[in-house]
Amino acid sequence: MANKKKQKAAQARAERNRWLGWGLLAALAAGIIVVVVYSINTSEQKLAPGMGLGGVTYCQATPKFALDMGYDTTAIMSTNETLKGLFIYDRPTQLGQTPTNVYQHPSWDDAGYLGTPVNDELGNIYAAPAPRVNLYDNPPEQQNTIFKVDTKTGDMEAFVALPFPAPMPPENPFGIIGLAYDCDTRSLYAASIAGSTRDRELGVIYQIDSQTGEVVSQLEDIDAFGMAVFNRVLGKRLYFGLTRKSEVWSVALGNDGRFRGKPRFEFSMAGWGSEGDEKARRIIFRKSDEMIVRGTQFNYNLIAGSERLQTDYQLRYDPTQDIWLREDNAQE
Amino acid sequence: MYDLIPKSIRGIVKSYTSVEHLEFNVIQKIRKFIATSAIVLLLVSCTSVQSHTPAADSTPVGAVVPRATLNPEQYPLPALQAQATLVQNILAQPVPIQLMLGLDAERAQAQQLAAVDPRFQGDLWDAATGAPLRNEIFGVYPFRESDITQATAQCQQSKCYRVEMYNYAKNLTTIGMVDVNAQTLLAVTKFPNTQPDVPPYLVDLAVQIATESPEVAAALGYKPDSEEARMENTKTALNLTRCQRSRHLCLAPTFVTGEDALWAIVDLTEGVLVGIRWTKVGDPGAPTVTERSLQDDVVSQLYCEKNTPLARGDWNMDFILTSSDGLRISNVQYKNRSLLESAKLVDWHVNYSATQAFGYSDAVGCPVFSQAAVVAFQGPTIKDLTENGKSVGFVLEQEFWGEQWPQPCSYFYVQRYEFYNDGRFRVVAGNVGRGCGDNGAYRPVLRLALAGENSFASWTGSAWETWSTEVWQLQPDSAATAEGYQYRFADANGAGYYIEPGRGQFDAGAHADNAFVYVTLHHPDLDEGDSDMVTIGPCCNNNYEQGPERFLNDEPIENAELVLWYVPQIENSGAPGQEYCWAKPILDRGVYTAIEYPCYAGPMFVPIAP
Repeated sequence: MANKKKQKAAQARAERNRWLGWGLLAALAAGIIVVVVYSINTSEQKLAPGMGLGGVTYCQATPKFALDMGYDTTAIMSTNETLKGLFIYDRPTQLGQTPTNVYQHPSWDDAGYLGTPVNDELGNIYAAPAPRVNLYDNPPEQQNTIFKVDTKTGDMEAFVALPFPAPMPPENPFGIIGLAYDCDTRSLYAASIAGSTRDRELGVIYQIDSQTGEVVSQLEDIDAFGMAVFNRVLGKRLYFGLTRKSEVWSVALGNDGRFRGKPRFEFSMAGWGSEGDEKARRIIFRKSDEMIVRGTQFNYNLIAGSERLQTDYQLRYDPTQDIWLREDNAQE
Repeated sequence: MYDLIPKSIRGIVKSYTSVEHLEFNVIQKIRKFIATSAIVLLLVSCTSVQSHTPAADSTPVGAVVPRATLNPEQYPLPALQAQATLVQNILAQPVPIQLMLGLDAERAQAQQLAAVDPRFQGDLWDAATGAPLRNEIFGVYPFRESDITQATAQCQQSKCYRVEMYNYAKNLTTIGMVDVNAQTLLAVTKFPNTQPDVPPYLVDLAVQIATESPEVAAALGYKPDSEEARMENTKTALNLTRCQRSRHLCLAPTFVTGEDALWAIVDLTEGVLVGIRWTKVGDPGAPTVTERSLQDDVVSQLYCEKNTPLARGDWNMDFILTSSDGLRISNVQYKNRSLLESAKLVDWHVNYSATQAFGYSDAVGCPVFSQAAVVAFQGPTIKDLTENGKSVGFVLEQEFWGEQWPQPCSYFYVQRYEFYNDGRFRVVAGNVGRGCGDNGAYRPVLRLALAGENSFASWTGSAWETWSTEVWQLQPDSAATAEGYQYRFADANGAGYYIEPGRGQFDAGAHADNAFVYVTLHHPDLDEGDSDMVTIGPCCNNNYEQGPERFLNDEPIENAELVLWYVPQIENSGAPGQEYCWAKPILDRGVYTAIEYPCYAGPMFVPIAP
């Protein structure tokens, strides 16, 4: 009887041990899978064949309607501080020259003052409202909508209305404040700070399919400003300035333009220029290794642009360290 | 089955399962835990990527100091006085450059060669008037490898010096490369909005100003010795502070107490303390303390994020700096009787051309995270109102500045609430130029939510006529009593206030308000302006369409909760002798400052005698 009991107990122990072993094995396998999946999703992806190094705006075309109107490929599509909406004019032959042959389509001021536009390979123009001085022409509810100017007709219409993470607070009148285009993936990137407050950073960077307007992927809880995509041997990265700090960060992109992994710090602009606290309003890649960062004040207010200095800074890419080094010789 | 487990982990399993007293339910818990962990891990790997930017700074705030030189009787600073005298003497010289003293022969020669060269003298005088500007040689340094350019290539075989001069008026650095062997100034380079390394005596002066300032002593809890100030006089540290708004030369003596550091930003152009700011010692993520960051942090934390109660004499109220409606007062009481639910300045409409609609709708408010175009650099001030040398009440005043003021297209607005001991009060909007032209019309939109239920009436010339429904009126379209009262509001018992519009009687040289007056029914449930308002109207309407008209719906307003909108119309002028709502830069002791021609508008509220 006693032996039987002992035998039973031994069998039960063996059974328990088997289950425990299998459980641990299953957990280990799951962990390995998780790590592999996570690292695949978040690690950088080497550039696909055919994707060149450097900036990715090579395809951006002049709108067809502009060419039909007699403008050449050097014509400037402008959204400036004083004129409401979008304008096109001939490129001045001298710096400071008054623009000539200025044209504005009747729909181009429908969205109020606009931020810096970007073009796609067909010549469509994308722009987002950007309040200047006040909100009279830029109602808050329209600040998170991207507008598209059709390359053939020149008509401007709402292209995609991005969601608001929170109601627009009185302390932040801004929505979309940065746009970038990647010719490789035909992705439009939009940086929105709609709903962000002094205490809550709710900004989102969206990857948008330029043909459908569908949001493909997004990077949340980050207030970003100027943006641009740059191709390195190691893969694509979207570089962006922060609105709350004088810093430029970046995040890896897949060859499909989707965000991969966590953003990383690239460099600080603290102390640069005469102001010392500028934010990266625009990022432009020239050549295969040159970045131009346009710094300006940004404090989530509507101080007129004429009150803010803007400075361009030049940086050079060091592929051996995968870092950007400032090149211009500004006095600090 | 056990044999199916890989050998490499059998040992782990064995050692784990060899514990004789491990109960079955414990094993089950482990199983559940493992399974749950695996699911959680899988879910985490599938979620979208989140950023991890640092949270906002929570360091204790400091104070913005009203810009005023230390009272020499209370806080004697002989060095500051000596500096002022020296500057006056230098400005009277043919070449207004304060040269560096105590240099060796070669450096002194280099300094002299630079100072007399017309190329180096390019910015010594005001271009328009020829008046001397304040200039000073800050340093004469041996030529460095990094200074070699095409123009200075000969310095590799000669003895050269780098002469650095600072222009206080233009915030400009001029650098001259001098070959003392060749007795030649080889090259001159100018760096706008840049300051060279500061000479030691200015460092000492900054420390003295900081240590003698009562604000520093009050913050520290004791008067510090100069030795306690950790001076930031190296090139790297000098970058840590800037006076971006005043564009003046600033240094920041820092006082360390335990884990905290008190930055005292000193403006050496004016010889004043700008403000103080606490930071944590050794915090690498701490933001740089500058004039702008200090002002923005202090104003935001002290005045934008919370109401401040104010009790003075028989008056009680709260005030707060809003995002876009200026300084709002609320719960205003006189002798415990509620008068105003709130009062604020919604917009400034500025119109420069009646035909071309050129102008701006400016909101005033908090410096950061706001809809304001012209912002507060410091908090409100409370001062005595005096008549014939006697205090008759107090004034609560808030200023809003454009950073480039008094340059064209930059603005300086003022909000003022005057409270008198006899129960009168006045709500005032002021402008100190300069704007984009001398043909501008300023229209501040004042909103006053009256407390309780009232009826509103205007004087017909012989009687008070009660307004029955929501309506607007141009102020000159109705008459005034002999006392100057044009409107009144009163409750069912007849208690209330007369309204006396400005006709130039309140401020010397003031023009009439010529205001649009609107009375609308208060709808707290609809929020018709109780919270911060977005831009209420366009810049350039010359008629009553300034924004409040959108709330006129013919609703009855007798014995009701009312909102009074008051929109004065002020025309500016820059004509010599007639300047109004205007400002222009002038030179004072070699540095640009402003001469102000303010304009103020707003009605006086006079209690109806019982």
